[in-house]
Amino acid sequence: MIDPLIISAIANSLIMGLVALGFTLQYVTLRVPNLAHTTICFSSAYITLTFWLLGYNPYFGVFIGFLESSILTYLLYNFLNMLKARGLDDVSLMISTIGISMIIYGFANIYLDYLAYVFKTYTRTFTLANADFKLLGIPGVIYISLILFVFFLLFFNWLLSTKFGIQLRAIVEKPSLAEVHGVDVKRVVGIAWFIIGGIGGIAGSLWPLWFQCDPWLGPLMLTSIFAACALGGIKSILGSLFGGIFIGVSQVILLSVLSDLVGTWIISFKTLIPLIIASLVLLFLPEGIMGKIQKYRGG
Amino acid sequence: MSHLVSKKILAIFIIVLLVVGIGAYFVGQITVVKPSPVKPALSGEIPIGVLHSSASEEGYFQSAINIAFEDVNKWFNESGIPIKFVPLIENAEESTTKACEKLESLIARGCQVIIGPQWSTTSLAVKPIADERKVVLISPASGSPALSIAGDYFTRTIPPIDAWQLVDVAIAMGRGINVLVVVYSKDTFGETSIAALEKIAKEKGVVIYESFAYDPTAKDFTVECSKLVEKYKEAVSKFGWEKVGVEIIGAGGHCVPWLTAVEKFPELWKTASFVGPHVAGATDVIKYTGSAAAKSGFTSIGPYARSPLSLSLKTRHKERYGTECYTYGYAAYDAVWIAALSILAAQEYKGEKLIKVIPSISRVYMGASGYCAMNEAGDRIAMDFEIKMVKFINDTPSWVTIGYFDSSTQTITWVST
Amino acid sequence: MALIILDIILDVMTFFFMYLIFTSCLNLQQGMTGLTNLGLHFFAAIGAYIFAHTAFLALRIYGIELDYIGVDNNEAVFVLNKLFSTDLLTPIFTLFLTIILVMMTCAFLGYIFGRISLRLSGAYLGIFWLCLADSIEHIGMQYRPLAGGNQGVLLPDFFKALNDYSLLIQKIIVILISIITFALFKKISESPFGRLLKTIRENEIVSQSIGKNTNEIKVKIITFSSIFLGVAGVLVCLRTRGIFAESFNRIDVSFWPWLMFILGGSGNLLGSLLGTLICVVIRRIVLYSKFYLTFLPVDIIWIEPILLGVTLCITLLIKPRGILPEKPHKLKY
Repeated sequence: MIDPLIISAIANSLIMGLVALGFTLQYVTLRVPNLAHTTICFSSAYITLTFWLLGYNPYFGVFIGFLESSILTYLLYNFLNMLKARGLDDVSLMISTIGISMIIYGFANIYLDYLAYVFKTYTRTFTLANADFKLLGIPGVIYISLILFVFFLLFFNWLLSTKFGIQLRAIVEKPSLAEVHGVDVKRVVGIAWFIIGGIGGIAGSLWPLWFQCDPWLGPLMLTSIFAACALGGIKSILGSLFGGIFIGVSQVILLSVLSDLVGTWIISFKTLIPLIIASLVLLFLPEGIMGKIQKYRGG
Repeated sequence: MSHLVSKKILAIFIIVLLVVGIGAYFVGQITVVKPSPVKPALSGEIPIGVLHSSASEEGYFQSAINIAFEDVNKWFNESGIPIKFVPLIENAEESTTKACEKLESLIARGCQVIIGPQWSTTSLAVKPIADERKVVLISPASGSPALSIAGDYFTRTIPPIDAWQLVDVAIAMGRGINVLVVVYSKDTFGETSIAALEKIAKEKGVVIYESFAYDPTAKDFTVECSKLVEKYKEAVSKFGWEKVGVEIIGAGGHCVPWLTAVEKFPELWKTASFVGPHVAGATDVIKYTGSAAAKSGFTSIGPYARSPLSLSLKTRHKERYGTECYTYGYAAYDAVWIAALSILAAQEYKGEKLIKVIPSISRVYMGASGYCAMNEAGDRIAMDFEIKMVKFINDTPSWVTIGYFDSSTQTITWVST
Repeated sequence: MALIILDIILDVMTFFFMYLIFTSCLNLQQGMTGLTNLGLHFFAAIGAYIFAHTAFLALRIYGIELDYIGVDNNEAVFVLNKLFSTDLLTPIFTLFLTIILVMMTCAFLGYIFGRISLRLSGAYLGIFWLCLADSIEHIGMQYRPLAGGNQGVLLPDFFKALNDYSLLIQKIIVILISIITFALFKKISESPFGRLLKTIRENEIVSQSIGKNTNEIKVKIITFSSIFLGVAGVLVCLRTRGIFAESFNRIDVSFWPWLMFILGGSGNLLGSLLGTLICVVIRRIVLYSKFYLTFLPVDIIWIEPILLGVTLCITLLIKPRGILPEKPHKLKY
């Protein structure tokens, strides 16, 4: 049997990686840190809960979570475009995503109240770890998140080599130049955001199969995702994936190691780990690990 | 002839009697002082504030509070008292700044008594404003000893944390445990609880082998649980399995994530004693983590009162909401009643008057959580507890009562199951 | 009724003036200099943590030994309240000393972190401050000797000697300090130095080319605004009569001022004032009027974040540059 710490680290890191990937992609395409990203991603956890309460396999929530998150992200993208067209700068756009985050937070709570009323159970904090299947003693969420992680890694690798991907890369490099070359920037980025949002939604819908969920989870995860993206390189897709893995692992394994070294008192400072990593990375390695590697390679 | 005369006399006598009787009646109507109907000093709608510390607390408490308001209004209506209590509900959303804002909003809306908050941190934050504005707080869950101040406007329908930890220690001792491994939440509740536990354990001769804090905002307790297992194994190797117990101190909302983590560590499935947050009977424990709770023999406590009110609340809560009333929900129910009865007794809706009346009302009020008599600091003096454990009954995890704690004798009566 | 309305007005004004300090600092940093700071709560928390210790200075003056941060906090408050009921000079001296100490410490820390963060800009800088601020909040919540941890630290009534006027005086102090801050910041914004800051914001290279040391200026701005953020932290504690680390969180102390700042108009101090006023009033209206929405089949508590989010979004759509956008500087010829 595998140590639960290892399983926890894997689940945490894979899910973080997928969410961080979405955050980075949104940033490189629109140059706006989307502060509502984690709120949207983890709102899919309620879809998983709904399916479970209805008596279905909670994994059905993954598909619907993808759709829900995609649609919300796409709508957010259009809203940000509207604001951009009205002359808002990037910082103001970033702040506007806070407003969206608040709206989603409010509706998430209303939805949870509705579920509690209909299914006559407490829904404000929940975990569905017991509803997960096990294969060879390992929870299903590990297999599924690993498969999805590899799938999206390969998917993006393939996507970026397609015409759409080339257009997207051109937009990331220089949107104005891409537009001059006939790329429909709005459409391409819109599709990208739709997919990105969906990926985040998948990650969010897998979360309750191992961890605890509550309406505040999304906003709380923001700093961990920042840390992941900053560490990997906020402009690097691969970097954000591995940054997510690193942060996810460090929150579990590093904490365990530290508590062995300095004592159990460090455990209550768990939340500080991603914050300190993010602060140090931003100060001393602002381009991130991938950015540093690329710089070293002369790219 | 004499026969006729007697009939005449009888007739006259009857007529005179009738006339006198009728006359007396009318005269009586005029001369008897009818008590004029007493105009009630209070009438109409009276707002009572409800301030929840967080959304999760609202989820746990509001159902019991709703039933309380319905019961109170029904009683007042049936008693012919023209008062209707209207709950004004606010949520501090885990922020002390918002708590202060919401409290002031409730006061501005006319509330002179507020049910809540639940968290001691929130209570400590809003207390100065309540004292300043002379508005009464009746908390159904804040147990911090720092709130035990005589002469202030803070009262509570639960005893301070010491009383609850005394029960936890009694459970351990009753099971033959004299070594505890404890993990507590790094918040006001956890820190005051561990301080109380350490003090009581020392007095009773129970050793706290190891205690460490966990971050209550964490979403996963796997690391914490692995440390707990490590320390538990150390203690068992030193003192023996039958002497070592595990205790988790935290808010009710931490129960489910903790039990989820416990499920991953088989070492914790067969402890001699596993006591957790005070959520005895909670439905979500069974629903989300019933298996882990049953495997580990998860034990918890809650208020116990052999009162019809208690049973009635329990039954109606289950019927209406499909879940068991939350442990502290009984205290919340009683808080509403005490507030309403105090307003009736004071005949004036003013915090200054209510704070003087509440102690005497509490002394005669037998509620859903038992006798709610308060001391001069506004703290409930005593509470009896029911001890419950999750067990497999016909392969289904279920809460089973295993004992009762009597606060007057400070002993447990174990129930054979 | 009149007293209740006066109470509400005073309460709204206190909140308004408190937030005005935050938005003024934000205007100076982001609006005028282009320094993104999503962690305003960093210096506010530092100010509060210092206050947690200096507030009980009177105990030392009177020679009383108590663990005012820990188990004896209640007793310390009780003792000080009793002493302050007949002594106004000591608490005023304590407050004065606190303000000085907070200003010095925040200035020092502002200088250090301002210098460290020079290499960052835009979102990176904003996120750096956010991480720093969240860290200090978390440390304050977990490490008890700093500011009482999760239990917080209750404070005595510094104006107990003034009896019923104590709360009023505290509110007046908040208002006065806020007005002074605003006036000072207004002076800066209208001065040549203010124009220089805008030049740095628009095009740093141009400013450098005319011989301005933009790095030094940025550090000065962060240092200067950190002083007032620290003082604002002290005022927050004075108002709540206690120090609670978790009250210095990103939502209440950073994101809300940002909303107010964006709403009012970036780069315009009057815009920040207007944005602050509108936000505070709207929040209060939502707070007081949401009970009229009980007919809705949802818990009205959740209407608040939805309404506020919607208000922000609509305002940004209608007035994208804020209600009072920055006016272009008119040349005299």
